Amino acid sequence: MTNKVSSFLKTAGHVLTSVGAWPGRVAGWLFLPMLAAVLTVVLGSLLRMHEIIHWNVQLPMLGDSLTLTSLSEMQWHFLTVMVMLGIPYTLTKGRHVHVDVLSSAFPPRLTATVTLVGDLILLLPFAWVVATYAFNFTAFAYKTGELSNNGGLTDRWMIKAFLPMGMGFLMIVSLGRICFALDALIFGTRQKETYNLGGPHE
Amino acid sequence: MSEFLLPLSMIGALILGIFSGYPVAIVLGGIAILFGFASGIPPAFFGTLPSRIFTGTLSNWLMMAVPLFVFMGIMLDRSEVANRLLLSLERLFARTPGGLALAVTLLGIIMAASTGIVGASVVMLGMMAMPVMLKQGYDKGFASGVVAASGTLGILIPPSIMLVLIGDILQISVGDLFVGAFLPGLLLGVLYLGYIFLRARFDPSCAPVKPVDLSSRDRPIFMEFLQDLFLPALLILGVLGSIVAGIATPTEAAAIGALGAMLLAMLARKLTRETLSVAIRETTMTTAMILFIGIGATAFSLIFKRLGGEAMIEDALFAMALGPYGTILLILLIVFVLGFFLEWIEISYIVLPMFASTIMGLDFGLGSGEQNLIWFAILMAVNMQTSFLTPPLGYALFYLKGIAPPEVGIRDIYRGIVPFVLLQLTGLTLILFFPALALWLPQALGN
Repeated sequence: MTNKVSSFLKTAGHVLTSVGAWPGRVAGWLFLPMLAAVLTVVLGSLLRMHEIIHWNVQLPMLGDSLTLTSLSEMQWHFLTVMVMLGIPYTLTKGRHVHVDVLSSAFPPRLTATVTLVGDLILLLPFAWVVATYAFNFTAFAYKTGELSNNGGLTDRWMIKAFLPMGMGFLMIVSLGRICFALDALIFGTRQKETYNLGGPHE
Repeated sequence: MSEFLLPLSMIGALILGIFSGYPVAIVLGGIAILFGFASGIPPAFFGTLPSRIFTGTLSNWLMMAVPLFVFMGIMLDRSEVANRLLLSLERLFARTPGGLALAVTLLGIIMAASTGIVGASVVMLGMMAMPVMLKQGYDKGFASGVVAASGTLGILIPPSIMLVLIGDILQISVGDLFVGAFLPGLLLGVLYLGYIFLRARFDPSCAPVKPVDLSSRDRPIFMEFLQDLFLPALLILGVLGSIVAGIATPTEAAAIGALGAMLLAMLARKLTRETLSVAIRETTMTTAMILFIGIGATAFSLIFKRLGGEAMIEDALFAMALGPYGTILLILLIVFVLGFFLEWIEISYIVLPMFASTIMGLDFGLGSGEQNLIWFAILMAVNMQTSFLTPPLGYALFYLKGIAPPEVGIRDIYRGIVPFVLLQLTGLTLILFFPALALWLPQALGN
């Protein structure tokens, strides 16, 4: 019975943290198109270009042409996706800045308690509140058909949707961390890293 | 005093949370939400949070420079280009004690100046220099101190984004600020170099001089010079120069730097799929880490202001009737403490407008209120830089901890930074007593 619960918590922890981390891992590659977009804009403004390509259908976000303005807005669109999805990924790697001056000497149980309490009273409320209001913020952009003020990209709601999405994945990762922390507290399981409870190991 | 109970307990909770070892960004954000609900702020007030996060952090063009510079740093590091650049620089100082640390400081001043963002420059320099210094047997604390201090000096050295923002807020000429910051920046740079030289001279164990390894000479000496010193130097000077000359914005220059770093890696035959994938992964995590702190701080300062934290600070100042120097000292002290909790962006926007008219009206015998403000702005810049370096809460130290090799503990970083904090305070005192350090050059050039 004991073993069953413990291994269930471990499996659930791994599944949840992996699911929450995966999008950020993939989204990191958006760095390359972002770099390309910045460089193209530099080149384009040297050549005094404005419109790069024009076509005859209305595409989502882009509209009917690719201009330097839309390319430069695309840069921070890529950044937003990278960051919002990258935040949960970074958490699974224990790479968010934390002060270990006292906590590096904490016994494993205290570390697990800090993770459990912190996730319950700080992380989940914060992520929930931001996600809820960011959802309204996105819905408002959708309803009003918000778009660039400078003739850049359209469909602003699409990029704003990454705010609630990122917070959603953050909450999934947090649930996984809570499973790991419970496993450590109840069954005394030693986690691989003392601080970073949970997360796919590499 | 009771009306300040909430902001004071917010600060208390923040300190407790930070020392529990829980991620700082979530501590900032979570405390904001907890105190917001506990104090009965209408929930609709939180509705402004997403748009603040969106416009302040995510769609902010300044932030784009962060991943680009991080990527450039990692690429130069993973392809061992930075490594060889540092060693080449060190050869220039081969007979000097602490040659590597001196090389790192010079590199730091040059490279940090190209961003002006505390996080990005400390991260970049830390990624490049920390592994090299540790491999050479440098004391962990000494190495951390050198990196954190020279990485943040760039906040002051033009082209500093912070000075642009301060100039904008105080309505004074950004050009005057840039010129005014030159001598104080130089003064601090000289103090750093002097300390490193003397420390390495009298305590060689903290900065061992290793014989330069010439055994791996598999390329003609000309190629070696071209590849190790000339091309990387050209890249860095190109990035820096294009910002100074006004050809490129920091973001554009950073992108060119990132491309250049990839080309240099390719030239060194190190641009493999694996290198690229590691660089991308590290860039994602570092960027998410830095911007998440920005997001948490946005929530924290929103609620802190709402609960009267700002009024509390204002009241404290006006309760005391101090002379001109007393007032400016008090403001510097307040900003110094705020620098533990808030980034320079928030400090600049909150504190500067609050005190600007007071400072303009004080009589320091400098001629005019505008002169007061230029001097004050430079003092603030040096003061904030010092604050970011001061244990236990300085931001630069957190950033450095975030990217330093795991064997470097926050305790090593605290130990190593203390001498630099003392040097900063020396510089600050000199500028305080000799305003001409900041004001002479702009006047001389202006006439």
